[in-house]
Amino acid sequence: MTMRVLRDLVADVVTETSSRRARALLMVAAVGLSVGSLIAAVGIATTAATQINADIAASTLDLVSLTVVPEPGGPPVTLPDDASDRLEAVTMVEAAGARLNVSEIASVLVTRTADPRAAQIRSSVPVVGVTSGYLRTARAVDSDHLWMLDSPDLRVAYVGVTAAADLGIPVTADPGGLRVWVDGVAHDVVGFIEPGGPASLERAVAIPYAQAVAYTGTDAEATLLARTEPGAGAQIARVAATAVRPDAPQRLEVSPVVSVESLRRGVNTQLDRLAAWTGSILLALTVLLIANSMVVAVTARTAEIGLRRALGTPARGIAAVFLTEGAFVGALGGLVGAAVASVTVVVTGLINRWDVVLEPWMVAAGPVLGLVVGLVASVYPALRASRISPALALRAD
Amino acid sequence: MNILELAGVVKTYPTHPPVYALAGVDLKVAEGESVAILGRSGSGKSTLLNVLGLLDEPTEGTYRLLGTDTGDLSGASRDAFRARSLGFVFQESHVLGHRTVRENVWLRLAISGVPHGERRELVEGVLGRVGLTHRADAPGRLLSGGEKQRLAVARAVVSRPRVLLADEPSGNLDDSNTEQVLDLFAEQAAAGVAVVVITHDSRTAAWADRTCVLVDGKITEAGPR
Ligand SMILES: Nc1ncnc2c1ncn2[C@@H]1O[C@H](COP(=O)(O)OP(=O)(O)O)[C@@H](O)[C@H]1O
Ligand SMILES: [Mg+2]
Repeated sequence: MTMRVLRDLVADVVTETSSRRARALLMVAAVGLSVGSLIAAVGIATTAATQINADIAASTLDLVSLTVVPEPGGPPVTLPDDASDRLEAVTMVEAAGARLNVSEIASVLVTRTADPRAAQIRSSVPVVGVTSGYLRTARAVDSDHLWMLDSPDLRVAYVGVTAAADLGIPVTADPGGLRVWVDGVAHDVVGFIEPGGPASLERAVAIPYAQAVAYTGTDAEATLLARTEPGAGAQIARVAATAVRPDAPQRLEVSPVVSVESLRRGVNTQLDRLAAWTGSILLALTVLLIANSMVVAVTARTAEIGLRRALGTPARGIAAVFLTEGAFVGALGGLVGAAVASVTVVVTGLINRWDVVLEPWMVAAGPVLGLVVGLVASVYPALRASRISPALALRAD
Repeated sequence: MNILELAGVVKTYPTHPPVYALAGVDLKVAEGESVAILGRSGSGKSTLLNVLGLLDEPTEGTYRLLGTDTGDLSGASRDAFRARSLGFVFQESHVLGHRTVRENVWLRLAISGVPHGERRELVEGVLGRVGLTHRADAPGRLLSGGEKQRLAVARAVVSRPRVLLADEPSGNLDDSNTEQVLDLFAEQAAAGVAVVVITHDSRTAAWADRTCVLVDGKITEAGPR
């Protein structure tokens, strides 16, 4: 198809469409309504889902973490010895504990044997000091021996499963007899830590918290973790610092931890899918509506089509007129629909005080969707028009 | 030189029972010649014109147009022939009512593939010749019957066809309008166009160089005036 033919075709369709303005506007409105509904439905669903997720996230907030705010020149230890107990004493706190990342302050070597030279050196196994309460809070270990972590004298260790693989330690249900050497001091392995959960200790070796503080001499890198009753996270966050350090709550920084990710995705896809279904049915209806309107138009224009054929327009030229008209009207309708939908989503969001989520691609999809709807709808009418016999169409009697 | 040449043309409509609309027609029309076809209603005149205009194909026989055997032509070539070499005027003018007079003529040039740059001059020229310059911007539906038919002639001849085919062009016109249309046809014939006019009208028959009478699908009488 040459440029000239294309130019004539577009000019022809624009003239034709604008001379049947009422009909064209109705078709544009139909496409606009359906495409707009689809985009608005998806947009509102997305916005609502995001809002619901935020609400759910707030209501399921059940972890609070406190970190030490370093104070230059201040005492090296910030957390009182009974910090975990103080937190657990707060109503609605179910468990609490402390953690200190030793490897970030002191370099300690973990080996499998007493002689570091005889062992292959495993440099990158981090050492972490934890209280029993911490592992309970993080639900990281299921073990009867957790209390051992609270003793300053018992040389025990929980080994993360990845760390165990690094060290060549078999992960067994009964770790009796297994040992690791931390900085040359033997620790009996009393359990293993599985991956997952907020603790992320599977790469580390966990030793009693008090011994960790002894290595580092400071708890500047310590973290307190508290598990609350579901939904109480935000409230606990407000009082946690005062509960631990009533004299200097500013030495602790508190942040709620969102731990529910999977629920969020579920709500999103369900609402989106419903909206997409409803919108698709509307689109299909619009295709039928426009196809019907165009078949009527083809019948009404039979004589004109016959004349055009007599003047030399090829059959595919006739089809092209109707396909172009469908695409033109469809794209225009899609544009209108996208605009209306954007306004609808924003207004709905404002009325409900939601954070509006309007993806740019959804708006851009409007005209494309409309174009496809128009094209699909005009295939059958175009085919019909192209099959009109000029000899029959032009018979006077 | 013969522009049109029909030899033994038969057209049968495969209805039940079949209609033998043309039953062996021979016809030759030369450059610049005008031929009037007469005949009663149902005698096959429109069928003959459709065959001549490549709107329909004969069941049997040959039709040579400008030296080409049209039986060998593809659909696209027939379309191209209609666009470049043929012009039609029908009893009903088939003017596009929602388009202006100028746009009606322009459409024909677009279909014929005339470059944009040449269209304007051709349109204004032909509208001047058919006396519609003052109506150029009026929508087709507002024209009188005579004006519509002159517009139809303008549309048919603006792309300079070699053949002009008219099916009862004056069927709906009064005497003075008929005369105007015939004058336009005479201009075309004088320019070398082969003109074939189907008519009931004795004045049109008298105007043509030659008349043929169709009876039951056969040309029974043909000869110079
Ligand atoms: N498409 C068609 N199918 C069947 N019969 C047709 C068709 N067109 C014309 N006829 C028949 O063919 C005969 C000739 O018709 P036509 O050429 O229109 O005659 P005229 O123009 O002289 O009145 C008539 O009997 C008519 O009914
Ligand atoms: Mg007839």
